[in-house]
Amino acid sequence: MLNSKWMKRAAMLSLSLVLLFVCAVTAFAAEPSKLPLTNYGEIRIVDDAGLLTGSEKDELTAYGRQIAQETGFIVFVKTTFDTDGKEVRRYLADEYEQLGYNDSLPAIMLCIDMGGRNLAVLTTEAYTDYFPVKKTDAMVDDVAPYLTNGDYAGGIWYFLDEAEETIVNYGVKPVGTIVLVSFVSGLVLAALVVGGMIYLHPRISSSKISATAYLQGGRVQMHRQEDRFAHTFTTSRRIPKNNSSGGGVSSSSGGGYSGSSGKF
Amino acid sequence: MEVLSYQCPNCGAPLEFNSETQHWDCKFCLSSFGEEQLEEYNRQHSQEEEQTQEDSGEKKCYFCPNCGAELVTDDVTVATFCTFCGNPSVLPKKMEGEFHPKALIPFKLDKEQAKQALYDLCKKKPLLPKDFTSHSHIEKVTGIYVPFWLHDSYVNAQMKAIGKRIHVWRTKDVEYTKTDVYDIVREAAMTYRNIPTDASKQMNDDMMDALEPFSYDDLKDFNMAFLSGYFAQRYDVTREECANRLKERITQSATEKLRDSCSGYTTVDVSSMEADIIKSSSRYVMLPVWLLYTKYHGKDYLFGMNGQTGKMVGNLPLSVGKAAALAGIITAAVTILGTIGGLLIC
Repeated sequence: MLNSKWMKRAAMLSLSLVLLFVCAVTAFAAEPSKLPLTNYGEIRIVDDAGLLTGSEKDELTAYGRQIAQETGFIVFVKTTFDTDGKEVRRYLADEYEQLGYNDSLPAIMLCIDMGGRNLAVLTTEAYTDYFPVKKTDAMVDDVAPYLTNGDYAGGIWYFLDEAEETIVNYGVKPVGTIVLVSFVSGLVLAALVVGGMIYLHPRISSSKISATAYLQGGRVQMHRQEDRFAHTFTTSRRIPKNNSSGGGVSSSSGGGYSGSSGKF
Repeated sequence: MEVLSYQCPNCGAPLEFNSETQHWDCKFCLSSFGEEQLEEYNRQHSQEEEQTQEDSGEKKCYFCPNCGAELVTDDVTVATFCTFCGNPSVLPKKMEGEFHPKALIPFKLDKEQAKQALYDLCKKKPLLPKDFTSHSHIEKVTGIYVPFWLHDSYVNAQMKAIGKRIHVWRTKDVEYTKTDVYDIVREAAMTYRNIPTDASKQMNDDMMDALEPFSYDDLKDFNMAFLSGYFAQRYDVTREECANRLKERITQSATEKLRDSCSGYTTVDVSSMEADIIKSSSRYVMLPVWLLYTKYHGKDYLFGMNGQTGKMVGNLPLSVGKAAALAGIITAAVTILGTIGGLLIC
């Protein structure tokens, strides 16, 4: 049949085009950056709040060291009960600098402040390409539930995972996601356009006119028009607030950092 | 029973109604006659002899006054053609008494215009199979006067509804929604004029409804001469049998009107609706319709055209292949462009 032949041809042509294009895009997609970036990579976990058991700290340190050596990033995790009255991100930046590092090195930091129930994810300003504010916001949002549940080791583990994945995949464009989103958008648009055309395709039932066309003078002689107030009710809902805030921040010495903070 | 054949006063050939000039033309001697001239001639030369009729179940046989061949018709046909000589014949006895229409709207569009309207309908329909217009054959084009009832109805309508006015505001981080609920009552009288319902069992009700509206300014007192050259049927659906269809249409319309009168509400939910026809009268008329039958890949398609306004209705075939091709092209184009854009942005 002509219809099925057409359908097969169209489907094959479209599929071929998309596959060809995806292959080409994948081939030309940017290469990931070469790791490790520097030889400074190391892990520092300073658990002043005593949130981790000895074994947890050992395991996290081992994992963090592996990440640091692989990527060349300084991975710094700080827990505390007191931020010395400073905003948590600034406090974290100061603590980082007190260890002898500066804002020109590649670093990713996490601070858990049990006193103010705050957490912060910070990076040095020179490496905000790896961890833009959008990314640190997401990391804060993802880690916060672990901390809320008291799973501090789980939260730190998740942070390390996210940090590694982000650094390793830096420069690799998410071709798969982009193609998938584009493809789904295309399908939705096609369904809307073709559905609309099918809806408008001539058919008898769509052409009927209302009997209102035969209403004398087009008017209605209203005998009773009653709008009686019956009752009222009011409902309310709390507007969800953005839990995290992010952007650039300076250390007390003037070093430049970028990151996000939030509550848990 | 008498069979009327409107013949040319000059040469005796059959006359056909010309929808453009609204005159009756003779295709043999090219004469043309107005309504009054024809009436005068027919009065003087009326065919008095009733032709023989034979009953054959529901079919009745009449004889063509031109060639003498049998005219086979059913009970409701009142104007037809001789299958042998093509002579248009009107059966006036079948339109006597209650079957005598009060008025009629003459055809304004001819057969060629009906065919053209079908081709126009097919134009710019992107999902129509490409070969539909070239491979479909217009099997039959029939001009037919369809019996209709025109109803004048006086209606009392009552609607009860729940109306809601919703206000939303915010204070700091709390959003409040206040809903005021109203009981709405509307009672109104409405007068409908000339709502048509087709009075033929053979006609598709949906198609006849879709052919509306007709302009009643062209309604003329019934004259059998208008039927010459067309098919015509007398009614076989009584006005009482149309009552349900009429009430359904009126209720729908009354609901629309009463609902429109409820302004200022965010939502209106109709809880009850009654439309009582307290007085109704009906006129029996004949309205012009062209029916076009086409065959495409072995399947029949029926189209109707309003013989007065040219409005064309019908179901056109849909090309699944074209729809799939279009969907595929759109999907591929959006995927490619979206991916390029996405890669540039990321």
